[in-house]
Amino acid sequence: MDQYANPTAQAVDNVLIYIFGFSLLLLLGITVVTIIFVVKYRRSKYPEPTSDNDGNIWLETIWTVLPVMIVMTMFWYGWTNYVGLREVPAGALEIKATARMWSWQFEYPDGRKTSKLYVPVNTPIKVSLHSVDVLHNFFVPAFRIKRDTVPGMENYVWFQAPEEGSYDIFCAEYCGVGHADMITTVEAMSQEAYADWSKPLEPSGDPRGLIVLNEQGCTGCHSLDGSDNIGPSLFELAGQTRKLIRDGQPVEVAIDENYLKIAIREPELEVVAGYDPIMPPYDEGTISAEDLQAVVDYLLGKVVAATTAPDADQLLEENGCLGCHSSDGSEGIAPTFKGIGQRDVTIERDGKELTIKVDAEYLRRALLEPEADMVKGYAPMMPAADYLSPEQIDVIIEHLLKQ
Amino acid sequence: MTETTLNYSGFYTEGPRKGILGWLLTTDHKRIGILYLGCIVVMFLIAMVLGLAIRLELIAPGKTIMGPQAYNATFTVHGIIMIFLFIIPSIVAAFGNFLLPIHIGARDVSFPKLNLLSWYCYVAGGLLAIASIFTGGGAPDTGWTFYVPFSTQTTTNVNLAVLGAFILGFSSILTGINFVTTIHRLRAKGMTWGRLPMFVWTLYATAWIQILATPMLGITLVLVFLERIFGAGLFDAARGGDPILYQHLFWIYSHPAVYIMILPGMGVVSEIIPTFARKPLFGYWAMAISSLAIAFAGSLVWAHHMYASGMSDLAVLVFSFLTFIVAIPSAIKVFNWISTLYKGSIELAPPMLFALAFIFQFAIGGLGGLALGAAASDVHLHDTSFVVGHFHYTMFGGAGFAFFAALHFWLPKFTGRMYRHKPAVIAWGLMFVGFNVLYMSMQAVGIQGMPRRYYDYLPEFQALNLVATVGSWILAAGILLMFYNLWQGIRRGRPVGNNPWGGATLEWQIPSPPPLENFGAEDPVVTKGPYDYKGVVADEY
Amino acid sequence: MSIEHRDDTGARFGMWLFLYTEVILFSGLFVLFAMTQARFPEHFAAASAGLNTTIGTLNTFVLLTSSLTLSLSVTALQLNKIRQSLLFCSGTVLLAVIFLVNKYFEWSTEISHGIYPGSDHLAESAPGTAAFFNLYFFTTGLHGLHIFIGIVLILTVTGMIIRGKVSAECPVLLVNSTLYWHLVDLIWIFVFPLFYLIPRGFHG
Ligand code: HEA
Ligand code: HEA
Ligand code: HEC
Ligand code: CUA
Ligand SMILES: [Cu+2]
Repeated sequence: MDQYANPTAQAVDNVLIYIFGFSLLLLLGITVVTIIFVVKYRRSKYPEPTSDNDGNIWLETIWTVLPVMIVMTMFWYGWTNYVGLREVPAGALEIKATARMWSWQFEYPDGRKTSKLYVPVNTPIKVSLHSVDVLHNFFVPAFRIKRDTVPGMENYVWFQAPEEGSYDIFCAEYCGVGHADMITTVEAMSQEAYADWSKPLEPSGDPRGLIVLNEQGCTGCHSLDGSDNIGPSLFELAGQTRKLIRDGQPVEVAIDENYLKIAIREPELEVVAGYDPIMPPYDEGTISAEDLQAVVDYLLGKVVAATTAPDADQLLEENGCLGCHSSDGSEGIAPTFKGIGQRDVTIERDGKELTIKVDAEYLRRALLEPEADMVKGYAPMMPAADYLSPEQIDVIIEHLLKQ
Repeated sequence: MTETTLNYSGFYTEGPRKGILGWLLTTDHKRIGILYLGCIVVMFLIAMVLGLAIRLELIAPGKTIMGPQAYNATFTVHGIIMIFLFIIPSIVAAFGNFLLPIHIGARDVSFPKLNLLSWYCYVAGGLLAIASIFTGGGAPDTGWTFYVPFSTQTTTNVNLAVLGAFILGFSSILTGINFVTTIHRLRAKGMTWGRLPMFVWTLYATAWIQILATPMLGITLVLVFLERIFGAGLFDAARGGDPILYQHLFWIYSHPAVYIMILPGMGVVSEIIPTFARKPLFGYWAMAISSLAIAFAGSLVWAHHMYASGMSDLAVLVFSFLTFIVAIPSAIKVFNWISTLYKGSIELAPPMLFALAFIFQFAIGGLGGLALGAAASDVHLHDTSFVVGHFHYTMFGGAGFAFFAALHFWLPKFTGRMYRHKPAVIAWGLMFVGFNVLYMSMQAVGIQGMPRRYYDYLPEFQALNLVATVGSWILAAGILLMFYNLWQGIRRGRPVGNNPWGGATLEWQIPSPPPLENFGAEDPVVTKGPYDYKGVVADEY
Repeated sequence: MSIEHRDDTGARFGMWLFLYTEVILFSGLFVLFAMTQARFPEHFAAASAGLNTTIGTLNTFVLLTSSLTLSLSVTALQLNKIRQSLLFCSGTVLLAVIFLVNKYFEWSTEISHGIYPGSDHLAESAPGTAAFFNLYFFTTGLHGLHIFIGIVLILTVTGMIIRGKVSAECPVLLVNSTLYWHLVDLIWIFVFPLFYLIPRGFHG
């Protein structure tokens, strides 16, 4: 392996070799001297000791000072190389890793999520580390990097993959029954392959209005999901009213096509109450008339986003379900998904045992209130999947029923 | 040999009460020492069987003999028993209790009743810890470190285990208080600080750690307990807590605790080496002061277990520096032991063999500690099998072998009977080979990147794990032989006189086994140092 | 042939060592308090303002007085004034009980407001507030437990004074109980400002 292309591994290996090398020498010295003494001064040869020397201040000084010097070099070398592991080179690609019992999720700058870490080779990667439940640890032996993921706190590591290939990622902080299975890989690809991979998957899938919003940087100030930002959210505007300041006077208007067009072309005319008048105007040269129409239609909900239904397999993978449940029939810490739509389950409800047929209603309960019906023989460890949207839950249930 | 006889003389027969009550209500430090010794050996055997089971599971990738939950419980219970019930009390409570008063020329410890109470705390804590395996939601599965937030969430029976460890902490504190007071107050006439056997010095340093560090463990475990009962969220990030704070509190005790384990072992070795070289311990004051230095500096390095936890880089710098400081007094000790051998008259009796193995293995463990103490290399080695190898080398290869050395050295004094030497040497050989095969491979596979606490692993780690498991069998064979031989020695060994090894400390001048108040009617008066072998003749046996 | 030769200095020495361990036990909680306070000064200030300073101050005086009475009891015993000594012991126990009764009322008000470890109310309140009250209950609870142990200890020693087992010649048990009681007092001297006073200075 080309060491120089793997800077973090090199930093660690240098220190390892230095300390282990020194240690080996010391150990050898100590052992050899001991053996020589034991053999040479054996009682059969010397029935009485030939010296009763019980101390020497010079020797004591020497073997105090010498080790001090030795260990201080070890300390300093270890520290300076550690600093190298903490200083992320400028321009590193930043990827967010989220650990949870017992799987990993990686989120890229464009919002895409995967369960393996895809990176381009020879590019510094900064992985920001998060956990949603207990302590885990992001450990890649090949790059000699390791850091805990701590709930409520952000940690990071950085590395640079020297060549294409896949490198193991282990969870190195004990986290319960699935700890040893919390393994995934770094998939390093050539720069070209990575550029290809990271292209938006379905560029045409989005309605024109949304594309414009993203391209023009509108979303830098406005959210599309109702949350507040520098500007008011653009979520489900149809039918809403707005309190405005027009010519210094407060007025209330209903949101319509006309209002929106003015708000984009000449934003300083009407300012939504509570916000600063900082939005720049967008003229014909920036947003064409057609695009403006597309944006306004999109904001008023006139084009339904041609969203592709979420893919059930991907949801199960992304949300860590497969960290506990298998899809191939093997039994682990949680019931397998294989054949789940066809089987009867024995569950405990309110302390009573009963056997029921798996149906949509049961599955919904299992997902949202896992404590309510406990499948017999399993520990109550399943987290409620309330972070999924209702739509995603429907997709999962439908998928599971077909198994 | 004749019929089995366990009719010993000395303190075994004397005393205010006869029979079993005479033991359960005794305040005699020697009987309490024997009570501890018995319990500790039983605990050790239980935990070793668990260790063997861990190795069996790891013989090949995938599930071999148990599933993940069982495995996690196994190494947790293995760790808890080995640390809290075996290695921390081992030398201190068993040999310390028996020998400390004799070594300083006293009739007992300062607080004999407290001493008995601390044994009962040990038993109670031990029973609770064992009970946690069979009750509630199943055996605890947190690892011996009880890291939050996992330990506050798991449904297994962590409560009892934590409570047990808390009570064991009490036992340890009481022993510490007793020893410090005894050493200060009850030294015989002429027993100046400069004439204390090195074993007493190390016990003294140890006792201070027990007093100063153990309460921190107590409060930390109580907090885990309360967390589980009330869900207070003090360590829960979502509710304003800080999981890393827990680690600080835990290691403030548990790092100094590793020196509770090793210091008495160093003391034992410092007794054995001069005796079998018939030469004074080299650098007496350097040895005494370095014991205190280890205790002191060792209290300041706890966060070297947390380089990867996300604490600040400044903390990494400071704690890495301090960690290297603590290596110095250990190095001084190693050099002094070896110098003691120079121009001596060395006899390789079984205790000496164990002591030499101690030096070798402790050196490997300690030098491995240096690689862990350096910030950059620890990033790679943290929480891998290398760490597991490191601490077995120090705790087992170091403190554990010192315990075996002490057994071979002092059991004849305790019982008045000598075990057979040939099997003892064979057992030593098997253990030495098995031990190093086992833990050297573990360190190697850790360097390759195998994480610890994994019941299943990737195929590339297979070969070394297989070797390690085979090593554990050789080791087990050696240990079984050793215990068998010692047991035979206790029951029907050849009788020995006062001083089979030619030792110069006080215990060798009184009968084996010693009488009730150690020194008969007259209090001893000490006129010479502990390693003055002139005119000392070993008894034949 | 008695093993137990008397060593009063040794006994007091041992007691001091034990008190050391107690200080460290509580210091764990204090460290936790300091670290959490540093992160949520405003929450701590607000929560602390909710504590009843009157009862707290009253209790401080009660404890200080009880320390005094117990010391007086030692002096009396050493002067061989057994009756006086017994009187002071009982006075100390009485004050200790008053302390616990006050504490009981303080706690029950808080509990009646839904403030106790693990309560729904705390679970919903701000993280700093919850941490403050949890620490408050754990610390004062542990301290209260020490008061209780102290009461039992003093009562036992009182009984031994009556039976003459503790006397002017052999006062060490009473002396040690007094040392212990001073420690319990001392810890309260830390707990009181830490929870009732200091956090209020940190308004955001
Ligand atoms: C008896 C027990 C014992 C002892 C004595 C030690 C001794 C040391 N330990 Fe160890 N350690 C443990 C038990 C012990 N340890 C345990 C149980 C753990 C893991 C806990 C867990 O996570 O479960 C651990 C983990 C551990 C870590 C954390 C690893 C991690 O999780 O990332 C570190 C890091 O610094 C460390 C360092 C050291 C050092 C520097 C010493 C030093 O004191 C060693 C000093 C000794 C020597 C240096 C060798 C002798 C001297 C010579 C041969 C002469 C030549 C030497 C020089 C010139 C320097 N130890
Ligand atoms: C002094 C302490 C001590 C000792 C002596 C040992 C001894 C052994 N330990 Fe220990 N070990 C720990 C302390 C110790 N351990 C600690 C603290 C941990 C960490 C736990 C954690 O992560 O939380 C640990 C973890 C640990 C692991 C890591 C688990 C993991 O991270 O996945 C492994 C793996 O191999 C292991 C193996 C062994 C083996 C094979 C022995 C061998 O010595 C055992 C050899 C076996 C025998 C010698 C048996 C012979 C005896 C008999 C057969 C008795 C017959 C029966 C009767 C008479 C009843 N231990
Ligand atoms: C921490 C481990 C874990 C994760 C992550 C997890 N589950 Fe579960 N799940 C369990 C366990 C354990 C059970 C069985 C106990 C129960 O009924 O609560 C279970 C039960 C279920 C059931 C009922 C199964 C049956 O056999 O009746 C469904 C459906 C389910 N999970 C779906 C999911 C989905 C979808 C996700 C991801 C969004 C998910 N799980 C994430 C552990 C997990
Ligand atoms: Cu996640 Cu271990
Ligand atoms: Cu340590």
